[in-house]
Amino acid sequence: MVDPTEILAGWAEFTLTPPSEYFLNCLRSVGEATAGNGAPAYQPDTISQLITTIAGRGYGPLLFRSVHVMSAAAVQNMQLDQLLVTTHPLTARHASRLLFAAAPDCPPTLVRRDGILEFREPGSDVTVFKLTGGQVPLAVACLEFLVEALGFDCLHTAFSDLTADHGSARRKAVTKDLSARLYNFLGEHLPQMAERNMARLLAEHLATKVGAPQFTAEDIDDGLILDFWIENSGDDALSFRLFGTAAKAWMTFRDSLIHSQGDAFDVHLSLTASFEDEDLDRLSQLAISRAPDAEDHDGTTSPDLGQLVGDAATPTGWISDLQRPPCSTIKFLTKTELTQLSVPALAGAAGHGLVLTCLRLATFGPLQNRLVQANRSGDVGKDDIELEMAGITDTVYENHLADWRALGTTVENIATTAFLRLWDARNPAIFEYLARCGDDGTRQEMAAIATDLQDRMTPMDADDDPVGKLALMVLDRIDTLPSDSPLGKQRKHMKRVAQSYRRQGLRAADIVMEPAPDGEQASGPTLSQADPDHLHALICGGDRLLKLAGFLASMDQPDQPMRSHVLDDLAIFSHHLSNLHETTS
Amino acid sequence: MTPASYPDSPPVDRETAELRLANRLSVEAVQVALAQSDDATSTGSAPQLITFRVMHMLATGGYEGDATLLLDQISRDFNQRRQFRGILSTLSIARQQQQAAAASRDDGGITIRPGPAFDLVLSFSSRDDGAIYLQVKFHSKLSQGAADDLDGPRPTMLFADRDGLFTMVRLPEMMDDTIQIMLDQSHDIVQAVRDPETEFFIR
Repeated sequence: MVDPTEILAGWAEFTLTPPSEYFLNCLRSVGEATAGNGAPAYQPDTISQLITTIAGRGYGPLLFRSVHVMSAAAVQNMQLDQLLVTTHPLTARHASRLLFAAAPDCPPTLVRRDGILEFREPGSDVTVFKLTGGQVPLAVACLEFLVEALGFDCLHTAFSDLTADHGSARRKAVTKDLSARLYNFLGEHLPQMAERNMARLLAEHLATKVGAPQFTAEDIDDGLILDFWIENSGDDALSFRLFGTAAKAWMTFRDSLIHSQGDAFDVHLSLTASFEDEDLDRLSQLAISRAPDAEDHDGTTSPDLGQLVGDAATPTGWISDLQRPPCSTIKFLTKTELTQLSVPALAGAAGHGLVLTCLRLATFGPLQNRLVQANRSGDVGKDDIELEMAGITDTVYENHLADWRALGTTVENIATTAFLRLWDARNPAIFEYLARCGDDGTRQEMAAIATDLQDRMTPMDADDDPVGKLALMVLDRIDTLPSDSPLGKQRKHMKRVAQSYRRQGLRAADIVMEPAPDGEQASGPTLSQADPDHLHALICGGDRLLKLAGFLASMDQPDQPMRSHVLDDLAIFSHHLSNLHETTS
Repeated sequence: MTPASYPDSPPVDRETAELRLANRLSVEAVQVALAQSDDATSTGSAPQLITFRVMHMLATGGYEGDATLLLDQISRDFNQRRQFRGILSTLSIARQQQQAAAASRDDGGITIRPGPAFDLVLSFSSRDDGAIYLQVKFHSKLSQGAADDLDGPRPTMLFADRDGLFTMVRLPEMMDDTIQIMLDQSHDIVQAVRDPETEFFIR
């Protein structure tokens, strides 16, 4: 059997991002297929060709041939499954017997001549396509791959179309449709070639600027990004016409350089996150079976562990987390706030190094989008561009920074509200918040209560979940503190903040509390009875919001002379946008 | 404005940097594609590999393993359910689609589920031993339907798709356009006949 991983392992583009398991399984299904007599359905070289053709994205001609094979079968009143599932292995000889046998009722659109099938246009003698027996096995293998990848229904619909119409126009339409579907499928399951090319281009540019084949995050700064855009935006062969595209690519590059210094667990990000669980199980097994004391006598751990999947912790990742379960059940941020956050978040976790780029992106990105749109619907003159530029004041960067500062406060306040609800629900996650966000007085008071209660805990208390019990006892003790104690003041402050953020899922009434059984209330600390899913969402969302608030705080540049930057950038962008988008003088 | 310094960050060689950037961009592109996908469950599980050929063998009676186990596996996965349903739809020689609840009728302990090509009739055994007879009554010679010749496909299997849960029974010989089979009351196909939302396929 030809395994796709054996062939694709040597391909440079799959070194760090392998194709998805789903894709590989589709190829394996074809490679392992057996004919009715139990022999492999296809020759090994057929499978090898199929793998390289599909993975190399050079499937156009093969797909066209496959559609003609389907059409030939349809013309001869065969069923799709009769073409795919054969009694004998599909060799060139068997393919000839299957498709090339002279059928008495064969229409004139399909002619057999000298071992070649000729497809003719209905109503004319013009031959539009020729098919040899040797081409059929790979074409059928391709069809079987499509059945696995796109589904039997999809292929059956195509086959029905070809049964109904024997003309070349229909065959072309079917090919086009299948090609589009396969393109989308590969887009989800194979690393993208466009991204590979972009990475190569940026690395080349940086190597030229740095003058060495080694990079650090500091090599990518605001000046380099702006210069790169000015140099390359006019090149139609590249895709950097929009400042936003260039800026985002460089910010991602910078962020990935920072993360490149992490451990092996950061290296591999799965193409299909849905396979994470399976991968984790598989890798756990590998880790166990290859633990140093089990098999690896040289003392090294399994290199396969480096393939563990995981998401990098970035502001965009935190924003995504807020928008998917479990957090999505709570309205933490409005759409406007999410849109506002998206620009600085692009700069990555260490975004404070590219604040100016973020400000340029926030200011000139939407403006350039408007010009591109105007270009599509008509001419753009110098006046139009000047008019757009005139709308930008010299305080625009300061205004953006102020907006981000205000957004940071909002995000922090919503986190505070989320943690207050956790406090209301007597969830121990509140301690983490108090430790992170409380003042020294709060922390000291909390530590004193914990120490005191720990000393008083009976051995019986310590038997079963001592930490959980201690947490609940601390919460009970905090309830008895006077309102002017540090923790009392902290709670009062949190309550005040929460009054301004009565969003769905964050209101006090949204924490559904069921009465605890009487016996428990009488004998021990009060247990939390709130909906565990809701609490999970509050913990996860609160954590992401605190991270985002910290990130936005790092973007603050209080002492920078922003106005001079604006004036410089207005001149640069005005000139360059005119070069790019002006169509009339 | 000067970029922030990272005194502790060691340099990264160009090849690694390039590959990791491409990796990140690819992942982001895929995430966008997946987010835009209407069908979020299309890759939403880690299914055990059940190939088209295995499903084809199951649908055509050529599968030699435990069919019930395989049908259970197919039923548990959205993609495989859809694939198998597509195969059954194509290969079946007769089909009875979902019907309104009022369409089937109970007549003195006999449940009749009528259909355009065949009726399904459930009746209790007169011995009162918990057994149930399932009759498949064809309205016309099958050869007049899917196949043109009188020696056309002989019905060999009855598949039920009950809200994505597949079950099947192998059918004995047909006598006078009717097939009769004895089943236990608890058999899934019995429950499926009673459920108007079940679809049946005969192969």
